[in-house]
Amino acid sequence: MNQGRRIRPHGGWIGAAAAAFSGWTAGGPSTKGLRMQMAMAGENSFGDTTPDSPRVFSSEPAPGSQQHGSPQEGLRNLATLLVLFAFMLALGASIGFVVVYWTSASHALLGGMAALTMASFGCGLVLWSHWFMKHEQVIDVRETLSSPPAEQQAVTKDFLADDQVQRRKLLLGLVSGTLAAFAAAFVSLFRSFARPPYPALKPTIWRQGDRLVTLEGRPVNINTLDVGSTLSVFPENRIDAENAQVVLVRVNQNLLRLPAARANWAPSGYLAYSRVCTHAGCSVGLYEAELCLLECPCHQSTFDVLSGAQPTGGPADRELPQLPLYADADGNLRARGDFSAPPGPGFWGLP
Amino acid sequence: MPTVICAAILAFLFLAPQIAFGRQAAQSEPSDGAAVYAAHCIKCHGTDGGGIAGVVSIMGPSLKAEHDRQAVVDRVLHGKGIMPSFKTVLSSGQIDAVAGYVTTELATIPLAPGDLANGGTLFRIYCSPCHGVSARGGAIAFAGTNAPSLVDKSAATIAGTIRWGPGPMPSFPSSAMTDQQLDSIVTYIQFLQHPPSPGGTPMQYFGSVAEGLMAWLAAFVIVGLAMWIERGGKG
Repeated sequence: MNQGRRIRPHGGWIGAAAAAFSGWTAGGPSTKGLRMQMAMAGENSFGDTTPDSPRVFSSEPAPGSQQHGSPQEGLRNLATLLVLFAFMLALGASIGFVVVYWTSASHALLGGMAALTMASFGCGLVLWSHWFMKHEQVIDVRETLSSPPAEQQAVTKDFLADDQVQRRKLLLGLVSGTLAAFAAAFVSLFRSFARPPYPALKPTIWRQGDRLVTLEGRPVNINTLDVGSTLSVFPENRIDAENAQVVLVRVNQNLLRLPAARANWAPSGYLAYSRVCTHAGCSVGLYEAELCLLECPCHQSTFDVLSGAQPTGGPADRELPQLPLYADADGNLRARGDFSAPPGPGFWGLP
Repeated sequence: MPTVICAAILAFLFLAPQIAFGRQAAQSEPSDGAAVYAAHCIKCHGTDGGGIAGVVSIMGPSLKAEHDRQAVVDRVLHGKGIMPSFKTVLSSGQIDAVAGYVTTELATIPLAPGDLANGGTLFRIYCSPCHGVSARGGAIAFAGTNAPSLVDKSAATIAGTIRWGPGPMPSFPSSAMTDQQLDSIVTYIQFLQHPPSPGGTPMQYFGSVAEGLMAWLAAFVIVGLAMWIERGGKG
């Protein structure tokens, strides 16, 4: 018995709700709806027990759905259209995903396309399973003897002539098309590995001549900090810019060990570094004033302030980008230009 | 006659130390606050009351924001931590004089109630990386030091330390941080010292992750108990 039996499971909860719904849409608890609910109740509660009236699988559709022109048939045609529409939408959204990915940088649009693809594909599958799959336990009894070839061909011909099978072929084609579009969309994403976004990440809003201001908008003067002091500063008029935030420290000028190219970047011992950790993007707010170390409180990445914020410990493997400074005639600190490197986490293995 | 000489020598020997040390004590116990400070406080709190940083911790905290005369008197009388009590060393007049000197001459940092919300913003930018968002302290692993908990620190100590920046701590001079901002930070830290705890046990204010973990553990215990009861209390 067990060897000759194959149970076809389907979605339990959703299936039950859908069955109840179908019974309702078909004008009250029709025989079909009732049967489905009973079959499902049997399957869900006593998974291994045999239903009351096991049916041998055949291509014959469920009773009540074969009369042409009946309300049931109209509903099924509508459902076919719905499923078709869902799969078409999934296919179109998949293609749209690729198009958006190649032509625009809008992450919202990209995510929307992906969500639309998944949602409509899922809706199509659910509708399909609800309307066109058998909602009952079916037992296939193994045939002991094979039929003569002529009989097999006749049965196959009959089987393929059935409109439900035709419909299934169309839907299956659409499903594979959508899956192929999925695959294409996924594969096309590999383009991003070939082209590091270095130039796109590099610029921030720091421009030559921008004054350094505090959170309250006060400009920072050459006399603002003592040696061993620190301050968080922003470019003037853009205090809300996260990737432009800077940690400003003042150190003893005689201790500086900056590279020769940066010799004039630190007027009066003022050093400015990006406040965004190059490891995971936390705020590097922890300044050890005795050893002149900047630390990230998240993962304890440590940067040597005197030598251009080279990492000396912790997981970060890239120096903090330095903001070149100069003092104008009034003593206000201004930026010589943008950061020395793109600020933020080193996802792309940048130098 | 020898008896008289002996008596005189004995009397001299007996009185000499009294005279000598008595005079010395009278000389070294000044009555004005500056002199008392110079004699007893300067070693740990510094010449101008700015504090002295020890090797691993603050030796003497800054007194530059200490405006509470009675607090100084109490501290000198009873001591706290590594600071000894001066009850038997100084007279009450001397203690009162040094308290007056500290609060009127040395305390130059103004301190007033500040804005709590603004203080919170500044605390999270400048203080929380080391001292933790709950001000309960934290380790600075690669520098090999610890940021102390701020729970038992007075407002005066906090304000003085922020301006001073002892040891590994950066300083925040008034040119970089206004007096109002300093007041706000101190107000916020005082709020953090005893924040409201609607959940019953604050769990050291480690935050929602720790509290969530405990909630999950408690939930598992309850589920296990329910399963045990459902099996009739067996196994």
